[in-house]
This record gives sequence, structure tokens and C-alpha cells, in this order.
Amino acid sequence: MPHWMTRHVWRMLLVLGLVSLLALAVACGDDDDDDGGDDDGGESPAATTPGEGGDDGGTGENVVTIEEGGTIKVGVTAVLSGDLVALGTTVRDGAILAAEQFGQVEGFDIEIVEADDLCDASGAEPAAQQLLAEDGLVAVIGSICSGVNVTVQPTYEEAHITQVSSGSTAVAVTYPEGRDPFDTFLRTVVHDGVQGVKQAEYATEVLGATTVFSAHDTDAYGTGLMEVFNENFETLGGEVLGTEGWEKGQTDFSALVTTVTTENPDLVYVASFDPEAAAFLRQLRDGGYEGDFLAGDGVITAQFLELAGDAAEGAHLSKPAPKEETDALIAFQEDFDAKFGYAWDEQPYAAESYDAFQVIFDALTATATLDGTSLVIDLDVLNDAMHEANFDGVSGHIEFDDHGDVVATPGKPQIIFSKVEGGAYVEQDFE
Amino acid sequence: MESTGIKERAPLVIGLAASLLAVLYTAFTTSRDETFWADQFINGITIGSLYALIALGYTMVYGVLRMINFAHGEIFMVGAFAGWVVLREVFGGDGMSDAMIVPAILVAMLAAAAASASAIVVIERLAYRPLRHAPRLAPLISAIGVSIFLQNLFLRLTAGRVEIYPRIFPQGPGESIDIGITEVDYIQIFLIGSSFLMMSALYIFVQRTRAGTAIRAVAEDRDVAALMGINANRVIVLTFVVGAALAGVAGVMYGLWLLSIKGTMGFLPGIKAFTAAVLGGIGNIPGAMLGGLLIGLSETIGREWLNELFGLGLGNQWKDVVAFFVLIGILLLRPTGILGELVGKRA
Repeated sequence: MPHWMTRHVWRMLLVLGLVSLLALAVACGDDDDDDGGDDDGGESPAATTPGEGGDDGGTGENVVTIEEGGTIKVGVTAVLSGDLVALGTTVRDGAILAAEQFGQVEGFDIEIVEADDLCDASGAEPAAQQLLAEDGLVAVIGSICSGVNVTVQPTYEEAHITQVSSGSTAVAVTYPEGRDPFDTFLRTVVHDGVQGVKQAEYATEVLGATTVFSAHDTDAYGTGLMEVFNENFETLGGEVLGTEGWEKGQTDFSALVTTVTTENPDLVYVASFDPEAAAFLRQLRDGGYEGDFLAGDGVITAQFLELAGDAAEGAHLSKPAPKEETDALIAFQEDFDAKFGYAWDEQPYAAESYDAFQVIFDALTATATLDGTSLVIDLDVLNDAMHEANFDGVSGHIEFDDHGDVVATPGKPQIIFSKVEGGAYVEQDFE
Repeated sequence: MESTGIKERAPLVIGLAASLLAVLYTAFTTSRDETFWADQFINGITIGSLYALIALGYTMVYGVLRMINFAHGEIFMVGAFAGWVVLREVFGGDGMSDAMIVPAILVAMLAAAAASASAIVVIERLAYRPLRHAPRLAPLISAIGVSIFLQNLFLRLTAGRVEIYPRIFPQGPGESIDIGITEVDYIQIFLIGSSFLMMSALYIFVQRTRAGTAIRAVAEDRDVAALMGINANRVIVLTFVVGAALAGVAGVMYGLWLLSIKGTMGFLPGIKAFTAAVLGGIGNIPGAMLGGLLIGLSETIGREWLNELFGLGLGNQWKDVVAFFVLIGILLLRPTGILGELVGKRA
């Protein structure tokens, strides 16, 4: 055996070892995904929560006292920089408008404090710490990014601070694996268990698709939504030709486009946010794909139309959103557009965010007590009161189930579908 | 530079040849047709040549200064923005006439090269030169600082938004050349062609001109080169400028191809190009080119090939894993990279 061969044999073995490690990782990863899909797919929540009021001890321990002249602080954690800034700003502005309109609690002003969570796990914890460091913080309008929420839910639970999210739709957020749902998390938006099912129905009934290629953001939102969609699409008799993911920030999709055009599906389905979806769709159309395109609430934004340009034409998108033109909603639209100078529905979740603030405000009004000149708020009592929310908000009726999910309003469609026609979103009739 | 014998490289050459044969073999034995493999190959070469172009800046600076310029990805980003401004403000963006497209692209590339070069001259003077004789980690950290600063400066200037290049390069169905086995898009031909043109020009510049000889001399031994009458500082600046200009042009090509640019766009290509430089043997110019292509091919055709060969389900999200996996594999076989010199005695 030549000299160099013996020297390199162990290195070759190491390389082989790495290959098998990679193979193992992939195999295990796939199994987990499958299991997760089966568990999360269910639409009807099972009542396994501890009843209300069952918090651990919590009398007198977790009390916020605000001295005379101080302000009550409500946090907003949202993505306030980068690609998704428009999504986050819309949610923040919905809360700011609400704070302005609802006014004071027992003579104390409510101040909105904001933190930028970057819509990813790396920004999640710093944003939470930034908010929790605020004196007088009583509750938080939770992130619209499920990837953020799954990271910080334990942090807020420990701090006894309740989050009300307006746009975090992943099923896993209120159906966490291996534990009871977080008492400190509520959301005013229906979860992807609903959106994914409706999307699959839309794909088969309206678009007539029998084959699909699914692409998704690898975060909790994209993965969760894709799993629900794929499962239901198959249940309805469709075939999933392939499922591939991407990380936020990817711009070159040429390899993926080649795979998709080779498979040539009836429909390309995307569960992600708008920058990647727009670039992918554009490259897909440039690559000669002529079939349908369907995506969810992370994509239906003004920025998507701008980034995708002509390629957006004919794309189908869905979002959980109000559809009933109630007086409250009309008033909200006018106030929002006038105050912020952009349309409330350029991005989803402005109305849900307004309602999330009301959940917090109503609970504060009901539970905050004056002690001399100071305002006393027991965070656990506040949490119980928020669970009891029951009112007609601008986005629809707000009432929470045992998992903290908003209860569906009977007779009101929970998901609306739009098609891009002439560079604008045109709502479709589908319930 | 130290030349290494054929025996040293034998395992690597055998490994690469075996991989290539395996790729060719799978190409004709799998469910996928040859068009699929040809397309993925071209996709890999396209992104790979872009990586290679950026990688040259890393490798040249390392060769001369033994320093990793971690702000190089941001220099690429600066070039992309400079080209975008020129195309939009000077040539009227999407509205420009067909006759203006070719001159507009050329001017945008020149402007980008100039902007990136100017940026690196300022950065070198302010952030790197004062640390020339500091411990090696100091300029490295300084470079990371410059990188973060430039990213945030451009995020600030663009209010964190994605900006869109004018869609002037013909792209879309039919904008391609039939080469028999598949069709190659014009934009891919343009990217691959101009990258190779610039890399060849650089190679000739470094090997055949006086300035190039000076760069090589300083790379070999800065002090001795100075004794021979070479102004080391000027050569160092020249090295930075050449690398930055290539990155700037790469930025414009990236913009013309993928259209969306933003303040953080340089990070990932920068890391990939750095990986390419290390893979090819950092400090070695042909190595950077080879490394770039290899990384590009790994994350496209390499990933699909692993799927076919081992029955894995590695989706698009695994592309970075595969690319870095190739890096680790090759560094295990050859710690100095494919064409790397044996730097052990110098360190």
C-alpha cells in the first residue's frame, strides 16, 4: 500500500462517518415531521387544559403597583425591522390606535412600549427581556410570528405576563407538544388548523388541483401550516409530489424551480412570508411554470405585489380575516387609514391587533384596583379576566377556548381567499 | 508558493473524480431525466461563479495580509446598491430604451466597482491599517464591526425595505438558448461568461503585470518585498481594491439576476464565498474559483445527487448543510484546502 494511502485511511473513515451521520439525521428528522403532522392536524381542540383560576398559587405574589403619575405599560412585540417590517408595523399601529381610543384605566394612562423581535428565534428572547424590564408592564400584544412565540412562551409564563397575539397562526403555539397549553398565551386569530384545511378545500374544489408541490419556511409557522395543508390535500384525494423548505433570506431559488418544473404539479403551494414567496414565484414563472399558485396569510401583503410584479398575476392567497362589514369595522378602517396614512388591510392583522388590545383593556378595567393613590394590578387575576373575554370586536366576536384560541363565530367565514387580478387582491367567493 | 507533489493530492483527486463519476452514473440511472441534471448543473455553475467572484476578494487579502476581511460581503452589497442607483437615477430604470440596456449595464458595473473600491479604501485606512501590527485577532474583529456597521447603515438608508432592480435583463420563458440537452437562460450565460472573463483577467493581471508581481511578492514576504523597493502599503490597498471591484461587479450581476437587494443581502453570499475560499485553499486564486464552483455545485446538484444515491429526502432547506458538509469533508482530507499551500511553517 502506498505511503499516502495509509495516512489518509482514517480520514476517509471520518468522511464516511459524517455521511452516515447526515443520513441518520435526515431519517430521524423525517420521522419526527410525520409524527408531528399527525398529532397537530386535528381541527377540534381536546379539552385537556387546567380550568381557569388554576394558576400556581399566585395571590399577592405577582402584583404590579403603579404609583400616582405613572403609566400602565402594554408591550408590543413585533417585527419592526427588515423584510417583514410592514407586517409588524401594521400590528403595532392597530394597538396604538386602540390605546388612543380606549383611554385611561382608573385615571391612569396606558402607554404602548414596543420591541423588535425580528420574526425569528434569535430576536425573540432579547425582545421579551426588553419588555419585561419595563416597570409597570402588565401584558403584551404577542408576536405575529409563531417562530418567536414558541421560543418565548416559557419566559412570559415565568413572568406571569399574558400575551395576546393577533397574527400568530401555527397550531403548535396553542397545542404545544408534551405539555398543557400556556395559560399566558391567547390569540385573536384562528389557527392554521383552520387555514390549512380551508386552503386544501380551495385547492381541490376551486382550483381543481390533483397534484401539488409544497414549499415552506422552515420556522414553526411555515412548517405547521404546510403540514396541515398537505395532510388535508391528501385526505381530499390529492397527491403531494414534493415538499421542500427554505430559510428566511434565501434569494436564489433556481435549484428548487428546476425540481418543481420537473415535477410539473397542478399547483404550487407556499407557506412562508412575502419576500421569499415573491422571489420564488417570480423565478418559478421565469422558469416556465404555468400552473396555479396558492399561499397563506404570511404572503398576502402589499409588499408581495410589489416584489413579485407581473408574476403575482393570478396567484391565490388566503388569510384569516374579518369579512362582515360591521359598523365597528367600518369606523376602525376610517380611523386607521386617517391616522397612519396607509390602508389597514395592506397587511393582515390590524383589526385583530386592535381587538387584542381590547382584551387587555377590558381585563384591566375589570380587575385593576386603587390602593390610595396607586393602581394595583394582580397579574394572575388579570390573566383570568383575559381568559373570560367576551365581546364583539372589530375583527369579529372574541371569546377564548381552553387553549387560548379565539372561538369561531357561528356563520362567519374564518378564512377569506383572494386572487391577484390587475395588480390587486380581489376577494373570491368561497366559504 | 509551495508546490505540492502529486502524491499529496492523490486522495483528493481520486475522491473528486469518484464523485464526478458517481454523479454522471446517477444522472443516467435515476427517475430524473438528463435535462433535470443538466439544469441543476447549470444552476450550480451560475451561483458558483458568483461565489467564486466574491471569494477572490477574501483569498487575495488573506494571501497578502493573512487577514480575513469579514466585511467583504458588505462590499458586495455596496456594489449592488451603487449599480441600482445608477440604473434607476441615470438610466431611468424600467423605462429605459432597449438600445440603452447594454451601456447601462456596463456603466452600472463600472460604478459599482468604483463604489466598492472607494468603500474599501476608506475602510482599510480607518479600520484595518491602524491595526496592521496588532495581534491577528484585532483586525478580524474590526472587520466584523465594519460588516455590522455597513449592514445597519444600509438598512437605515432603505428603511429596512427590499429594493428592486430594474427588470432590464431579458428573463422569463423563452429567454434562453437551446443547447440540446436543455435550455440555458441568457442571464445564466451572462453571469457565467462575465465571471469567467473577470477571473481570467484577474489571473493574467496577477501573473503577468508588474503590479501583479508586486502583489505576489508582498504575499510571499512583506518585509523582503519592502527591501526590494516595493511600497507594501500601496500594494495592500491595491489588493483590497481589486477584490472589492470584483465583488462590486458581482453585486450588480446578482441584482440583475435576482432583482431584490437589501442591506443584509451580503451576509449569506459572503459566508458562502468565504467557505469557497477556504475550500479551494485560502490565499490561492485558482483555488477560490474552484472552491466557488464546488460550493455552488454542492448545494444544487450535489444535494440532489445525495438524495438519489442514498435515498435521502434532502429538500432545498438542506442546501447549506450539504455545502458546509463538503467543506468539512474536504478539509478533513486536506486541511489547507484543495489547492492550498502548506502554511504550517509560516504560522
